[in-house]
Amino acid sequence: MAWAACATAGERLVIKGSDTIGAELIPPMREAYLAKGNDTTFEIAAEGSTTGITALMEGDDDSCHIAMSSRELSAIERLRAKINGVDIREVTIAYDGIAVVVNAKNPVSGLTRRQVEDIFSGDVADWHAVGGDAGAISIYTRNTSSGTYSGFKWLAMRKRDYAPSAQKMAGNQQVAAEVANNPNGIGYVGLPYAAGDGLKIVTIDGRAPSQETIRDGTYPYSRPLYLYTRGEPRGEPARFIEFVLGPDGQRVVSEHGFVPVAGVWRRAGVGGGHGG
Amino acid sequence: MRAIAMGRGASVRAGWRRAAEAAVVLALRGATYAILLAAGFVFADIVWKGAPVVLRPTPPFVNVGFLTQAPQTLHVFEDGAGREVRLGERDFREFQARSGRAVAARSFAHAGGGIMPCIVGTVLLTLGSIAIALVLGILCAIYLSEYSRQGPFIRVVRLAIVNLAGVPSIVFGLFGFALFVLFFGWNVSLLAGWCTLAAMVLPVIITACEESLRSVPAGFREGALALGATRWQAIWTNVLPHALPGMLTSSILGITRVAGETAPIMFTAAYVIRDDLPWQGLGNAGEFFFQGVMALPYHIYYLSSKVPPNEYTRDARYGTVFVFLALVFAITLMSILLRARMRRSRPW
Amino acid sequence: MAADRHSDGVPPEGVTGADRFRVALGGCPRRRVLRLTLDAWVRTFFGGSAMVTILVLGLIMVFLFREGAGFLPEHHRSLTLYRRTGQEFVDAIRAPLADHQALNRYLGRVRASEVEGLRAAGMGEPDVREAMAAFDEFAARFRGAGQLLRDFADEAGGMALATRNASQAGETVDFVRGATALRALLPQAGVVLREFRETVEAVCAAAPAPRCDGSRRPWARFREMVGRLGASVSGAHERAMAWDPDRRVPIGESLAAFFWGRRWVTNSEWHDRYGLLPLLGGSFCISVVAIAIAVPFSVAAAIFVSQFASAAERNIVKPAIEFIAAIPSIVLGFFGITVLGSGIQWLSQQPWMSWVPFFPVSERLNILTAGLMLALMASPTIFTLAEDALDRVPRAFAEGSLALGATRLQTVIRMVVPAALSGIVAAILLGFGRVVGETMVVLLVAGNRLEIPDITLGMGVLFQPAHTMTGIIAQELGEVPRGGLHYRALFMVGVTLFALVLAINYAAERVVRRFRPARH
Repeated sequence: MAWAACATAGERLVIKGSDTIGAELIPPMREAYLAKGNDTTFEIAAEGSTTGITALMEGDDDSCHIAMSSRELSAIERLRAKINGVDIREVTIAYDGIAVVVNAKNPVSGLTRRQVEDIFSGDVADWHAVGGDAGAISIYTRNTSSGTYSGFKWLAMRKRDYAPSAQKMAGNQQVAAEVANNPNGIGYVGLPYAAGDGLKIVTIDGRAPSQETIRDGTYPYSRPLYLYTRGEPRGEPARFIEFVLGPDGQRVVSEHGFVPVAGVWRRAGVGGGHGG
Repeated sequence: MRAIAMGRGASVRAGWRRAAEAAVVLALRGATYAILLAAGFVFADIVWKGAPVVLRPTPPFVNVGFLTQAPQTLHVFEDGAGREVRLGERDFREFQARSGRAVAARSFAHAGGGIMPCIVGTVLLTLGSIAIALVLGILCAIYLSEYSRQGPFIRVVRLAIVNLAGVPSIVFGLFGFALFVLFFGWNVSLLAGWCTLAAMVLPVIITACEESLRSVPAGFREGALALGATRWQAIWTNVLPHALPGMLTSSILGITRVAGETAPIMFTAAYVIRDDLPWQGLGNAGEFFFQGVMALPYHIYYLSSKVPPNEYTRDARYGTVFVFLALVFAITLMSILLRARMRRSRPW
Repeated sequence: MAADRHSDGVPPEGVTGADRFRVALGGCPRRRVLRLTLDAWVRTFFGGSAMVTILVLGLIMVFLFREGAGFLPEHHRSLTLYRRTGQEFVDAIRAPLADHQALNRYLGRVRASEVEGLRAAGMGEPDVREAMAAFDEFAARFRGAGQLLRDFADEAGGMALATRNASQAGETVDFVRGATALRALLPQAGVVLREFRETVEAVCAAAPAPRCDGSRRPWARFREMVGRLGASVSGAHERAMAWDPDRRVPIGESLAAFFWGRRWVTNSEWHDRYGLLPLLGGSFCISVVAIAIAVPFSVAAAIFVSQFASAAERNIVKPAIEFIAAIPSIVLGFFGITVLGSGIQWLSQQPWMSWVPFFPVSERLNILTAGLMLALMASPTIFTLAEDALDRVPRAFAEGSLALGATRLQTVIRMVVPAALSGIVAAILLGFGRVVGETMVVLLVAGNRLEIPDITLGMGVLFQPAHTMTGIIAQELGEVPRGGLHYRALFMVGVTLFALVLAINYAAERVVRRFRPARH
């Protein structure tokens, strides 16, 4: 409605989608962006990647400008975009490692990829079977709309379904909190969340997730984070995306535990030192 | 001799019985106070941890920042003297600019600043939905109790209203999402939230209004009709003035329900973050109705499920819950007091 | 205002509201406007607005059912596709693996009880480990027995999945060719299944028998379950042979798969399942726990307040309990997740609490935590209604009983409570209805595990997480594509919830009506 009339009161930017990006990366990004003197009003809804993509494809121009997603568009979503005649553009803004975490009291500190698959799909139900103390494994996953939920299935479980005993948590944070509270818990979270008290990051095939192992691709569970727009971004969305990809934006990315997009990383290093 | 033994036995038994009776009554009383104790514990925990966030020992006695700012990221770092400093986003940027260097800090989203947009959103949602529900509810109640003739249709309508009053709030959320958000295309907006919440309390309000209309003695109406007044005149002069206080009181009870509900607004009206207050940045007046808002209950849901539960975020979490609880209790208290006053002043 | 207006018994002199209204509409109320009197207009107006209200309330049901009804044909299409692509065939072959998985899990329980027995016999930690070595080796071999079958099913599954994905992407797919290719695997499937069965049996035949008395029973149960695995394998083979991609899926099956489905799997790369039972089971368990906790307290409180409390105590306690009803559910959920859950877990981990069965608990979000919070929520509802019912018992009942020499307690137990019983039962039912429909507490506190609560654990079920009908709607509605199967499935859950709560309310009303005291 009356979109043009809005221009006088500062641009409006509606961003929807992934909880990983929307709760952890976009809020500081927004603050940095506003600190640059931009007069933009943000509306952010972070209920999972699917929500953003759905809003982008089915809403009008005004209901969602940018969708955040921690997974690629699925084949069916691409098809739906084609049917709706929507041209969806994609840009990678950062990389995120998915860390497998267990309770700090758990003696297990490394797993193989096979073991991770067995645990999350329910083939292995007791810690004893993977070298820990006996005890029924409690699996914590994300809710189904989360990009991490399907991302992890793709990366670690050969697309198999989770064990029915898996508990579905509302966000990365809740997974971290429950694993930290449950000596028999295991879960997966975005790297920035894995540093919490009471958590231990499990090495996968002997490799721990870090900025280096994620960037050089030796850590198996890492994935790009995307922003999507309807058509070529113009106006305010374009400016914001440009900022995110720029040195200031990429510094926010690394400050919050994500891995900057490779090419831009070097530029950010050179151009660093801007006062906030 | 046997009779004496029996008598003594009876008195011993009576003594036992008295003791048993006292014990049972004690147990009943214990159960009663156990409920109050449990609720008191919840209440005390929230007040104990939440009140210090919101209230201040010195004038103006409240934490103005918490009540007037939007949620911000909280930055925690150590200053030069090794003391831990917690600053909201804005102050942190100022601090960085002043110190002229980048300060390494841990940051927690939504843990700093205040909850002003949530309070505003909740108040707006509550007022709007109550206004809609009250107008429709009173009109409908007047029709049902004063005009309608008893028949199978009206009976079905009454039955539907009574039963809808017990339907779970999430079902109303589901319905509001399907009808207002999707079918009418209002998106996640204030208007959709109003209508959903209004639909939710409507049955409660209709039932309560009808009751308070029915409590006006039939003689009042008959007296007016006997003097030649039309039915409407009788209602307007002799029924409504007596029923209105009751209607309003019951509607306040509806407010408590509306303000406290989360499930119906999750999909119809609530945003996680919205920079603008509802009256800011509007192109025209119509846009006011089609914007989503932040709301206290949804914010609490967000804080308890998506923000790390640690000492830095505790203030934001408990402060918000405290403010919310205080708001809801204030409304409830008002309705209880009003009801008590009204009962005293009812003349028949 | 009402009071002083009424104090002289008639409306005050001067201009009344009606006068003003009349003047505004231009004179006499009998005057006709467009051939109707003012009164008729007013009546029409009220009738109209009542119709709007009724329409809105009607729309609620219409829209719930409209969106929910679309589930049936769409689910039917999905089930048909599942059959035509041969996923049904692959799942038939794979079925014994689910039983195998359950056996694996059960083996963990056998091991736990064996270890407990050895420890109780005074064995040290290293000795226990040594004693268990043979068992552990057996468990590992048992776990590995499913590997061949799993790999085979994965390969067949890949073929079926390719057909399905092509079909979903809108390409024209030759289902017949896919089916022929899959059917060609049938002899191989028979071999693999037989081999799986033989491996399992061979491994189990060489299994070390348990040493402790305590683990004999679970071990016997395990052997019995292994025995049933044979039947499961041959059943799987039969179902695989009976697979016919062209057989029509009856429309009723779409409904049955919803109401009797034991799994709720969404966003699956393989096949989404929308089975209500895990949700219904979770909702039911949590509500029963909540009511079981709330009823003794709140009914006792109602009896106390209405029969024993002094007027002063009553005037304080009654509003105080009613005040609890005003606590918003999200606040209780918040308390449950931040304080109660961790509190119970902490308590269960204390050494002096270890005598309690199933302690220490590992999940802090579980059925008990949610049940406790909901009990607090249901208490004021049950209390208020039960107290009302007790109050309505005519004084004469109690007075008669007291006059005959009965004590106060006897009177209450023998006369007053039975007379109010229908009201109390109705109060409990309505409390149950309220708890079943509660969303925020269970969403935050119940732990959201999509599995039918395992009742074989006895009281241990209390410490299991569960998911609920209300919780799943709140958790997933915001995230599903509009109009899709998943979206409609959530509306079906909503419709079920709606019907369930209506049924409970109806039952409560029936109870009240049937057993109303004879005084009427």
